[in-house]
Amino acid sequence: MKERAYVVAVILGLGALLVLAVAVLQFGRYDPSPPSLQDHPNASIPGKIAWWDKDACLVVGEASGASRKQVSCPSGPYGGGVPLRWDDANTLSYLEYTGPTPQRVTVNVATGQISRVPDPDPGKDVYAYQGIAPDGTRATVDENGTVWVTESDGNRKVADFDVAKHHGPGVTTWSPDSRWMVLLYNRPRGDSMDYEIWLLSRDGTVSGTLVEHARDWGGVAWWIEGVGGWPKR
Amino acid sequence: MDGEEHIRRWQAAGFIDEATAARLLAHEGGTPAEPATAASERPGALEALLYLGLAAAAAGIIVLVAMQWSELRPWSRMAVAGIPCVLALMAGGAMLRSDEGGIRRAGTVAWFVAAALTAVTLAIGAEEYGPGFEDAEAWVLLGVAGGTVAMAAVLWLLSPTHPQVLAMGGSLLFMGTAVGNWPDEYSTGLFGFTVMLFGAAGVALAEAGWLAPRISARFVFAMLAVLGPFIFGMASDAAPVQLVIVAVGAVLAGLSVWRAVFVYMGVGVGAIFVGLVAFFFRQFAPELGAPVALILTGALLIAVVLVLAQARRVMRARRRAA
Repeated sequence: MKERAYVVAVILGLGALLVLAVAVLQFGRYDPSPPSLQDHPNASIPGKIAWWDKDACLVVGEASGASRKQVSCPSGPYGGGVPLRWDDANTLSYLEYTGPTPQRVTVNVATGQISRVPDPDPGKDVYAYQGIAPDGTRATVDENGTVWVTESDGNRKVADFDVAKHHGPGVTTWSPDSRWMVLLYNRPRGDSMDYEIWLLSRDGTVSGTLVEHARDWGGVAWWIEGVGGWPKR
Repeated sequence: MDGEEHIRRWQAAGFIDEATAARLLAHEGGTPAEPATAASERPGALEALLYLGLAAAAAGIIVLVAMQWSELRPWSRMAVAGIPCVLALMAGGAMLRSDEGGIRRAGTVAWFVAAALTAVTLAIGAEEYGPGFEDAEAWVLLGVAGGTVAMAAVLWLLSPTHPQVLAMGGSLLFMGTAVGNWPDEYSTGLFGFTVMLFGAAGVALAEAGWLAPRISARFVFAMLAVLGPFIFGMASDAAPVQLVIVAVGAVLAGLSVWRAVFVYMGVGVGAIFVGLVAFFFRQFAPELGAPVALILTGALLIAVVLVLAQARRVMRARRRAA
């Protein structure tokens, strides 16, 4: 019986040691998120950004990370909508597909007031998740988390995030001046609907996490005073 | 006290198993265990009926679950696996006290089923009542696997029999799966390494004489020891990693010669064969074509048969000499 107890102790002990080792060493775990812009605002990032938070509420914040405020929480089965866009400095709009004809929902950022009108021709919208900048530049992220920018003279590597293979971020949209990229990152073990929003400069030298919990509806829109909004109709 | 009496006392105390006692008695000129007991160890109609009952109950549970699962409440989902698990534990415990060899054997099978049902019960419990934190899934799977290993180990502790060794091997394979699930991207490397480590530990414990019955312990844990490198070898493009299975097979073959145990030779040479065939096809087939890889495989197969035949001859001679 004593020998049998040794066997059980060796097997359970070995299992416990293995689990402890992988957990303590965080074997195969990655934390590629750039520093939080909310904790460390970066004044060099211009304009304001709108996104859907994890509770399906529309939020507008300074792109620098300095401030943010919830604009509205639309009710209804769908909640948020794509593509989110800035109509002007004080108005956001998006499409809602709850009936036979898509509804164009307009939100006053200052008051949170919502109005709906039918939009029979929604196809003209540039969808945010296409990853194309206003100047036509395209950005992609490969399976290893390397961000590539396609320019006239070819592909250029601008950043390399330490991620698990096939679990990297994706470029969803750009700033209206084509100087910044917006990336969405879904943590491998998190809620599949819960995304981080990262901002990355075109040359890859500056990056930051603007939002830690956002919804992925491709609904990220950027406005820069004097330049305009992106994406746009 | 003569040698025969010593052997019978050792067997009664659990230091040696029945087969070893019989061999020692034969060697010492004594009488192997009572013929009446040996006859009761043969599978009979009663034992067959017990297995039939177990199979029928299992089929009923599976059909019930398949038909009504979505209608069941969380606690009743847990009960679907939990109650049969407790019943199997109780029935197995009662059957293991029987004087009939066949009933005792059925008891060990019931405990094997109980070990499997433990995994199912814990998994359902984790799904229905598990923690909701962000990283819960990896921890939950480790917890379910750990609980299953603990149950299998305790059942083996109470009844060191072939089904319990098999249950322990299966639960450790499950544990390897859970450890491989820890990284952000599932790691077959970590899965395979864990399984190989458990296999090596089991082989060492079996050779130390602590893990019994040795026949099944040697086979089950040697299989784990080669299954591990097979798993991570298949997932890797690196030639040295693909050849680890061959190295492990060679170690087992060496152990087989050293300890005069044929099962290690069978598993070891089998591993070398599988490992080299996979290696040929992955490394050479793209350049030299499948026919060359097939020729190499055929030559290897012939070599394997010759090695096994030679090993068996050597081992028989060593046993006779002993």
